[in-house]
Amino acid sequence: MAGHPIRVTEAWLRQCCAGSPEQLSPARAYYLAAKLKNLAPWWLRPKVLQQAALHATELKLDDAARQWNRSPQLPTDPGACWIAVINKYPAELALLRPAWALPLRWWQGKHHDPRLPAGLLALADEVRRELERLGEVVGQWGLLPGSPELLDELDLSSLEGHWHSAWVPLAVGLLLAAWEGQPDRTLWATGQWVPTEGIRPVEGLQAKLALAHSFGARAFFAPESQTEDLRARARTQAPTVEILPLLQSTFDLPAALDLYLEQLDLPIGRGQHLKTKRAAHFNRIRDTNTAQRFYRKHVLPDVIEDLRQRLPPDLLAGEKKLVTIVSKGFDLVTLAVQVIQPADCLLLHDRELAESAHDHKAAVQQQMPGAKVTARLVEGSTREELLAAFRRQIEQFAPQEPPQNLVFDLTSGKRIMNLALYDAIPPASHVICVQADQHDGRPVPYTEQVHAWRKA
Amino acid sequence: MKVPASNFDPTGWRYELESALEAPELAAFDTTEAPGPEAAAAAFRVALCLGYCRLFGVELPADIDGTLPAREAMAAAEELIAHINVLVQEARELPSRWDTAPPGTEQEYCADLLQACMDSWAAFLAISEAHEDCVIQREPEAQEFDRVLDRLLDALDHLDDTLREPEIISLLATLAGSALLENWRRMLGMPDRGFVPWWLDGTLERESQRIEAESLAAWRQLQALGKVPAPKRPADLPTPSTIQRHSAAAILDIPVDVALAAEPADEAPPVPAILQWASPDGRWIARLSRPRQVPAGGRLPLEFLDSAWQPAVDLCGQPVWLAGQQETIDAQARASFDVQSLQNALPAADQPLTLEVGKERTEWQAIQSE
Repeated sequence: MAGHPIRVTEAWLRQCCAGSPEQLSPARAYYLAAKLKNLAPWWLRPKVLQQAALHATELKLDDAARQWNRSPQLPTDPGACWIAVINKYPAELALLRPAWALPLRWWQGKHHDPRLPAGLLALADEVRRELERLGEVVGQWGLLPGSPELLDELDLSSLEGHWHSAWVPLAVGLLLAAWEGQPDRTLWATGQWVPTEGIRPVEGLQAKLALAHSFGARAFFAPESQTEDLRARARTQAPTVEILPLLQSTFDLPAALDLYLEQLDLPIGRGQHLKTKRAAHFNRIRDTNTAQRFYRKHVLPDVIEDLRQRLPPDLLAGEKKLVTIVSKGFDLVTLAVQVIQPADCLLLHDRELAESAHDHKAAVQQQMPGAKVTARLVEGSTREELLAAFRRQIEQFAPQEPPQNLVFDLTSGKRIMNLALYDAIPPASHVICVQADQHDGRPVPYTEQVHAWRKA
Repeated sequence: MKVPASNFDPTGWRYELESALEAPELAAFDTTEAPGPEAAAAAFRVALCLGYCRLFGVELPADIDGTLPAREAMAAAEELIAHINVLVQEARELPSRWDTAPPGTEQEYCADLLQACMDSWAAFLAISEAHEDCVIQREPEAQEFDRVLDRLLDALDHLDDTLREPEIISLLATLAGSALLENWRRMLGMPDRGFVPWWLDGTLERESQRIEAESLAAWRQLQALGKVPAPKRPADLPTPSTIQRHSAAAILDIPVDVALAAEPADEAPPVPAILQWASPDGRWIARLSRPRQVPAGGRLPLEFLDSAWQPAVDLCGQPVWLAGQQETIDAQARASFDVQSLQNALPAADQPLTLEVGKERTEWQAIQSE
């Protein structure tokens, strides 16, 4: 029967969850567990759940008894994450755990579930905006309960709380979701992030650590400045949990989360040492758009650095004008642009790739904000028509430009267009072609090579 | 949730804060010496005024808005702990003072106690704000402040526990519905405000209702024993036309065919609803569990409990009718009903689901879960 959802507020919790587990009658425990519905196993103390299950058995409600006797399991579906919520009044609200887990899930293309606490959703927006700003996330992402039924007939929207410490687990959850990473239920974290200040300390660590321990955590990430005290506590209270730091000496989010991301096998941190892992992760990404974004965001920077060191100096000196052809393939156009870093860039495309040209233009403008980028349509069905069209575009794009300042990228595009462009290139101009090994239609990261010469 | 700040300050807390901040005793916190009792009292006054401004959403000019410095806040916390200890003592004396108070003045003692609770809440708010700031800024006093705050929280818990002792809360409940509580609620911006303390969240009103119901029950017992004359039709007894009833939908919605499944198909809550009824004298509650799937045996459990959540064994052996289906209350104060028979007896979802108890088939009133 779908009734009105119960609005769970602090006042409601005070009304329903006050009391001592030791003095709790089985009937009240049962009633409380029933009222908290699917949150009961997450929020109520095990002793209360035991009592509730016992009473349910007496009422011959074996299904309820089974659910309340079972330890809740953290989800590992794509986008899953979980936060630890502190019971601010453990002495008064003693029927609730000192801290409880709230399983959540980031979901692409969906809006937030309004039954989640409003403060938590506001934080989720902050997290999403920050990761968008950093180029890690694009598009709409909504925060939902960990399972569709978790908040059946419950409404937590008015539940007050200090949600700031959920910043890190929410952010890492979204990073995993965005990059098709795998959540690991043995890893827990708590930490606030302020873009201008970095990781900040949080409260309630002891209770959160105990909670993580009860869920079988192998590692617990906390703000660096708080790890020493926490390690001392862990030695006696959670000896199997390793305390690891969220670095506080940096304003760079991936650097602050470095150890956490490493444990999650999500290679989006800084440094060439992650190359092998990045290549492996890139190959694991199933969605082509996500793979393209990953390649552009996390593979290309290292590749560009390598290639620029190998190019002849005169190709990189001075302000260059780059001409390239748009194709459907991976980001080799972007790669050429970023390797050459021209002042002016012309993207040529046929009618079929007009939309791709628009996307490429936007991508190049984002990566090279100082560069002028133009996209032009080239029409022609024969070699002669194409050659004439390319010559017109080149003259228009770089009238009277000395050939040593012109770079033509022949990496991508249809064969006939490439050949026609090559014929149109003014003698003594630079020509480049980027090549990479391919696997399942994708470049194999770090096999990229650039060939450069002058047109005879 | 903070109340949005405004210039509205009918109780003058902004002015009070300005005056409190000018106290010369506060200068003691600028030295390295331990502050004396006068300085601590002045710091407490600042915490109190600032806390009330926060509570009532009073907008403060930039020159006086801010967080208490850690040393002042710690001194205020110590002072508050001392106040609370006195309050606990006063609370314990409330019953005897009530008994000896001049007629018509008893409630003043209760009002004074709750006013002191409000003061404690306000001062605590300013102190905890300072504590948070101190911890975040990693000030050297942070650890000491942690310890002071722990003691303050213990003291506040102790005060709450004392005030909620049955004998004391029953006296405080005489203020239920009073202008005093309503004024505070208005000042706090309720009902939109998130957290409110127990004396404003309806606890006193419920306690008052409980006492009223108990008095009524006692009166009925006396009536049954012939100690007081029986009225022809007590105005407070619900007539059949005014009795609240649950609807049959709760029973008709139970999917009977799921009973054969070993595990439910989805993860719906195991007991999505519990229907409740109260006996006319308010002594007993009946609770019918409506599980997501029909339990083994195909029967729904109905249990009878007293106000302490104990089985209502006094009702053992009584007949009970649910939707006209008769059973007998067993030794554990329970009865169970065959789902199929209930569904057959209920013609449509909008029909009432009646519960009648006892040989006279007295109908019990449906009550909503809180």
